[in-house]
Amino acid sequence: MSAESLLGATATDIAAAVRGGEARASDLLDATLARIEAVNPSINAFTALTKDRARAEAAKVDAMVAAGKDPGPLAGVPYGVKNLYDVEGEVTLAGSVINRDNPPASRDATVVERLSGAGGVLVGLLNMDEYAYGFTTENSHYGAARNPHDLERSAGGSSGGSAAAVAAGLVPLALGTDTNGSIRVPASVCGIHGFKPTYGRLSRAGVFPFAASLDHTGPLARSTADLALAYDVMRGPDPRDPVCRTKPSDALLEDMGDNVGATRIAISGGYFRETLEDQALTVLDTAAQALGATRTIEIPEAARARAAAFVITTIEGASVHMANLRSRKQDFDPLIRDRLIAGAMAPAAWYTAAQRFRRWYRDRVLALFEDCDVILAPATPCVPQPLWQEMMSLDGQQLPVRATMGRFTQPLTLIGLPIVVVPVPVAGQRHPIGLQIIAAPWREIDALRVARALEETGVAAIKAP
Amino acid sequence: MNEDFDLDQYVALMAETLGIPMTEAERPEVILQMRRTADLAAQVMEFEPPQDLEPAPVFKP
Repeated sequence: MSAESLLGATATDIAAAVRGGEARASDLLDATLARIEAVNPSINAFTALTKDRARAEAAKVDAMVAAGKDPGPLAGVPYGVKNLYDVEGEVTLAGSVINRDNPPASRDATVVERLSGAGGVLVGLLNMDEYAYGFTTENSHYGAARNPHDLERSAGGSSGGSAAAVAAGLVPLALGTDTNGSIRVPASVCGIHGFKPTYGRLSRAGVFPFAASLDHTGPLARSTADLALAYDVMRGPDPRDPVCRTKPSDALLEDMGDNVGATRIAISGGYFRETLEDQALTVLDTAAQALGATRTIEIPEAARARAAAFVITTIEGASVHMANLRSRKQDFDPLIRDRLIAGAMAPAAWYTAAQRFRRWYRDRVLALFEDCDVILAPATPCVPQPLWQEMMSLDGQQLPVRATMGRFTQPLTLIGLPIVVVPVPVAGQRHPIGLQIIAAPWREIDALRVARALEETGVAAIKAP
Repeated sequence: MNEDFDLDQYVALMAETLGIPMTEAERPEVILQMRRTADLAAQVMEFEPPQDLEPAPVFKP
């Protein structure tokens, strides 16, 4: 099997070929780097390549296969990480110039250690909004990530480099982070799969913080199986992250193929069917129909939940950067600087009110899961918008593009629910919108099973850019 | 919550309190962001949960 034939393949297929001795990790790496060098200038997904490390990791995998040993479930799989993850020997820039003054990371983020420990080959670092504070990956220092489906449009954010790299077939797997939607928004508008497990499920140790009580890590990929594969490798307790669940987590890949017949699937109504493009409704209704879901439920107070998420984010986010806001605020990206300053100035009463509302809202939403297992909702209200555009028209309203992209994701991260995003192509539409499959806390398996079922019926599918 | 509070004065005072340098020219954009935050905070502040409600998240040592 030629290495070129594996470009664009899933991580599952690549690992099988490498473990089976049909392809060499080093050959695939060479082909991958050549493809990145050819395509990346047009999409600006990778901001740095880690070629030396990648060559060493690929050589190690090949040596193990040659010696009859198993390199692990990600054998030879090229992957990239958002530039928010620590990578040993690299400075974690977090999309900023300020962090250039920091020393290189002394070790990998825990989940990066686990991916490479399973045979993964880290090829580079991916573009993002500065300090993850955005939904569009428009970065004033490093340029915007461009959407592979339409280079004039945003790849979504803040993990836009991760989504663009996967959508363009540069790597089958990338890590992003999600505080308000930063995995789900770019997955939606780049037409790929994204997975944000339950808050506290995957370690965040060695990941530069944005808003600590909302920060999640997770994968973006080209199939549901690949999301589960990456999750299975990354799961497990981590004493370096005080939020990470201390109990072991079950593997999901083997169980996700089970029949979804018993899964009770509801469709989100109210807020999630308002202020959106027709295509987003078509995505929702097409998936619901394919799954035989007819029951609509309303997530209560979703608009207020989005407001609470905004308040908590801006205040927690500002606290991370207080010293630099005092001493060198001119070095921040102008797109985020004034939002951080406003967050620094916000009264404590706003924050505590938001955290108290958060508890009330959590209790109400969790009660919904007594009568259903998953809830379907659009991931974004619209297709990707043109880069650097300030305002957009939606349902007759003029709305700010950068904030509006998170309309359907923010109310859900607020309470840490596990969510899978799948691409649902609509005939005749060039630009993607994804579907959120929302499960109860710690029930990632329910969301993955539904995602898998949608793939099997062909409703969820990757469309070539 | 008083939604008509003087944001200009508030931002100037808080910049001084927190030690964030800010010129007159820089202030309007911060005021705009503060207004957006205040409008969203107003939605949260007008909600009155039971007084004994435990805030989220719960810290687990």
